[in-house]
Amino acid sequence: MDKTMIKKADGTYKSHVPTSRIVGRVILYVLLISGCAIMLLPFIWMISASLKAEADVFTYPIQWIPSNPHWKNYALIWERVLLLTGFKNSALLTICTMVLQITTSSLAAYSFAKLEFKGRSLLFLAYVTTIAIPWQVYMVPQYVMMSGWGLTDSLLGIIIMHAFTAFGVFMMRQFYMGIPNELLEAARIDGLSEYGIWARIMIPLSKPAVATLAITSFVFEWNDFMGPRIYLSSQDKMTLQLVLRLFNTQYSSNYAQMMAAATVALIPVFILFIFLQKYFVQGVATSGLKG
Amino acid sequence: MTQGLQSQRKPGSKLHIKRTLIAYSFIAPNFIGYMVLTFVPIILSFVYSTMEWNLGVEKTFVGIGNFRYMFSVDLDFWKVVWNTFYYTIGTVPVCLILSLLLAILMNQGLRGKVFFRSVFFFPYVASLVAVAVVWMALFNPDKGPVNELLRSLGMKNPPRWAGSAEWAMPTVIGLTIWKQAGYYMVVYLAALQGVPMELYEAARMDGANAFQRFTHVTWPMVTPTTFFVSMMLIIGTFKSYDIMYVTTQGGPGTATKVLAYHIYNNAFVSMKFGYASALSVFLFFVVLIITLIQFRGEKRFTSYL
Amino acid sequence: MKLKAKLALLLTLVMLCSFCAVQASAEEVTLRVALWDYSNTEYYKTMISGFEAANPGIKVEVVEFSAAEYSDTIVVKMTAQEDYDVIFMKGLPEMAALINQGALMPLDELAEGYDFAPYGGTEQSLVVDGVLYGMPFRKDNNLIFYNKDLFDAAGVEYPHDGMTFEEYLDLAREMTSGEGADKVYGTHVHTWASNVYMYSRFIDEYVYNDASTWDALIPYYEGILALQNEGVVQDYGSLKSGNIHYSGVFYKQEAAMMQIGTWYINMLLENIPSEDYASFNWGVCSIPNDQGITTENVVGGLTPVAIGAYAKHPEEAWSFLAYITGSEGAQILAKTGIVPAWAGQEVLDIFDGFHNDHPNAPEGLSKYLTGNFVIEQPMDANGKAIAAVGDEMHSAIMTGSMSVEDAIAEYKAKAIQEGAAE
Repeated sequence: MDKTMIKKADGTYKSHVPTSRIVGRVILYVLLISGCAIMLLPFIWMISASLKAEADVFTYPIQWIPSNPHWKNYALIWERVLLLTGFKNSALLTICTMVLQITTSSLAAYSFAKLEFKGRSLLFLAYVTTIAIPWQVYMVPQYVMMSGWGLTDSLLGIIIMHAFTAFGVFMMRQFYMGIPNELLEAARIDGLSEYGIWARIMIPLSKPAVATLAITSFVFEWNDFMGPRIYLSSQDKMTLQLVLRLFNTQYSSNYAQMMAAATVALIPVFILFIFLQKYFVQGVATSGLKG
Repeated sequence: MTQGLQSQRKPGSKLHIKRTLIAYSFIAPNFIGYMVLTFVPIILSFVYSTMEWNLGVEKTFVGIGNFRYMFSVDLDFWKVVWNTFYYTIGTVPVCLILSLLLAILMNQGLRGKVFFRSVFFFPYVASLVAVAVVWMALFNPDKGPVNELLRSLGMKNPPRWAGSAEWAMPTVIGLTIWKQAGYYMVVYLAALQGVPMELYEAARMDGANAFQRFTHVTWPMVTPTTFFVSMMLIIGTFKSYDIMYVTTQGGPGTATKVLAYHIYNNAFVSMKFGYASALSVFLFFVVLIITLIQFRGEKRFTSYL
Repeated sequence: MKLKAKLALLLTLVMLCSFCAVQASAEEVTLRVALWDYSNTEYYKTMISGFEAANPGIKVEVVEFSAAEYSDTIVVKMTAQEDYDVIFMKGLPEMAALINQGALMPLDELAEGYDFAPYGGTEQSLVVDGVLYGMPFRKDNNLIFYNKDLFDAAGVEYPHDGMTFEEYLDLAREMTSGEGADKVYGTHVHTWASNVYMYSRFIDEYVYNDASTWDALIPYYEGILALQNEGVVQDYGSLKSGNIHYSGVFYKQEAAMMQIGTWYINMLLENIPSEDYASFNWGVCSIPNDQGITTENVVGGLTPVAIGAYAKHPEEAWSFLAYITGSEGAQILAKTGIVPAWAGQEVLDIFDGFHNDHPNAPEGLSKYLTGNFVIEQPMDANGKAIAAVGDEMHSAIMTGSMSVEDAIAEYKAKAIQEGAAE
């Protein structure tokens, strides 16, 4: 081990390596960059298609840079369908669901991960296994039930349907499991209540997990199509994904405009991801503790 | 470490009851909502599995009739079960290893890691409907760029991807991995943040090389996350239907028809809602068994925590 | 009267009128109409505003769902007993499922005394156990569309009514030319099962819900597969995975012929010529068959429209149905090039007149629309499931995953399992 380690502010290490290792680095970068190319290729296609006339979308060989870019596709999508309404409703749904999911999931997860109580394993097993039931199976009884309560064709109905997630509980629990018990014991000895521990220790320590759940929840809700399509019917409640589906009609399709709209729809999620970036890699302050 | 705590709490003591109540109060907000909105409908659909119901006004009780039909009459059932396992086994290990590998790479002091991280995460963010169209266009058997490339590399008859029964499933698996790997990379990345640096330092001092540091520090420390990731991938692939719906519609023939797809078809195309419920009861028990096995594994491997 | 006084009187009148209007709107009935493609279809909007103008007390509230998932969505909605007054349906198998579910209202009482003559008997296929459940709205029969310019350039005679299937295949072979980007395919076979079975259904030797008739499909599959292997038609797998839409293939003159429904008349009128597509002349002829049938029969599907079982305003809903499927609605449809089920002389004249305003369109289109209507997929309570089996078989055969005989044998069994006649 002839490396000199320099600890950086964010807790990662930067290494000064001898020339023999540089080759390895180069190979690594080549691999990473080609990996990136594979990841990005479909998006380049998407953007390129969004700038083409419908007739040219699927022509081969693929024209990666349209010779005659149809910028008007981006203007047309705002005129043809209720894209703005879709954005507004999706944003509302997404934010409410996200906040509720994070709160209720992290509370329940703390209990499952760090508190002892009777029936814990059984309850947790029930949670995990019900994640496995495809929604299509219980959506009908659920819809009939919600319809009885007048919660169909309402954004509120979808919010409460998605707010209580077993997935979120499972995910947060797994992260909490990794947080050393000594920290909690120390806090208990200092007289902090369980609620205090959750708020002052678990939440701050689990920022990467909260950020992950936030993005999970956001992406799910933002891209969810099945829920809104069953639950919503009024024009003024349409979500973005519902609006996107209107580009393809029974007898025709409009992939150019669909790709333009999909590209526009990507932007908010991507901004959120960039914003949450730093939390994913925030070091947990566990100095002084043994693992 | 938890042993010491447990011994202090005697069952039945006041403190014990109070602790239990506190524990339940944490679970309550999520549990009540989940109970009413998800458990109840699931139980209802389990009840429907013993009935014949075309979503009309009347339901007929048929006992285990639907299950008998499933195992001995339904011509697609075993094929669909096989496809489901094929899809799961093809997806889960690759996706798991790839995402962990990416996470470890992204956790190093690489130049441009923020960029790489974003790029790898990108597919997860995109709407499935849109990327499915793109993916299929790229893998067009005759004119797609993927096969153009393979031909230029000298392959005479490149795979026909979604246009053939043999390659349709690998194509769908590829799309799944491409879309999911970046997401689980982020999940792993979050877990890696919880691994105390001191552990690595100690390992280094003991003269452990990179591989040994992985097997002795990283891997054990991210076990809860690996459990989570593998569980979610298994469950996700078992109940996956949308990815086939937007790409192959289960075809060609029955090549990519998986259990969840079969459930959906029976419920809304064949209008055999009772039978669809019975299929989902089967799915439930398969996942239950896998989960129980995983739980045992989790207990064994994370006992030191 | 002074100007001021006049003004005051006018204002008072306006106020009175608006008061009356408020009174009237309080008694207004709002019909909830479930349909798909509303946002992108002009004729719905024209019809609805026409209907509202003709019926001042009735307003229409549209509930739109995406086209691809429409049938499933309606089924779930009706399980919760939604109070849609009017429900559009894509076809008879979908309608049969809704009838079976008890989601549609019998129309016999409402329709008493109604003149069904112009529907040419198509309404009879919406009758189940002697009860009428819907009104035929659109009627799309399949035809061979061909590009006259390509035939002229090749010096080949146009396809004609009453060709045999073999003649059709050979014509396609003859019309195939060029390589790479200049390639012109002899004909275009879209990815739907109907693009093959329609030939057999046309002469009534095959019907989807009777498995004993499925063997009749063998020669048609073999014929089309041969074209595919010879490069006369584009490959199924390529079309399917590329989401290649048939409309563009024909617009871009990449195929000389294509078997598709009459809705394509509407699409050709709108797009040929247009900003995106060059001009060419097109024509139509009847479906090839070995029995010498020309235009005396047509084969295709119906788009029915019905009243929901839990409708709040069945009377008004019936007047809506009568309006859109009757003379007024039919003419609005016909003007766009969509074939209405109501086939009065006014409608036929509109189709015959297209050539005048659109020189690319052929003359005398109406004779291709009036034959005895063979229903592509007759009503069957298990229709959706059986049709899905047929679609699955189609993809297995067309990708070469199974031989034609094996596939038909295997899928016949599945169709029977789903309730098809043996």
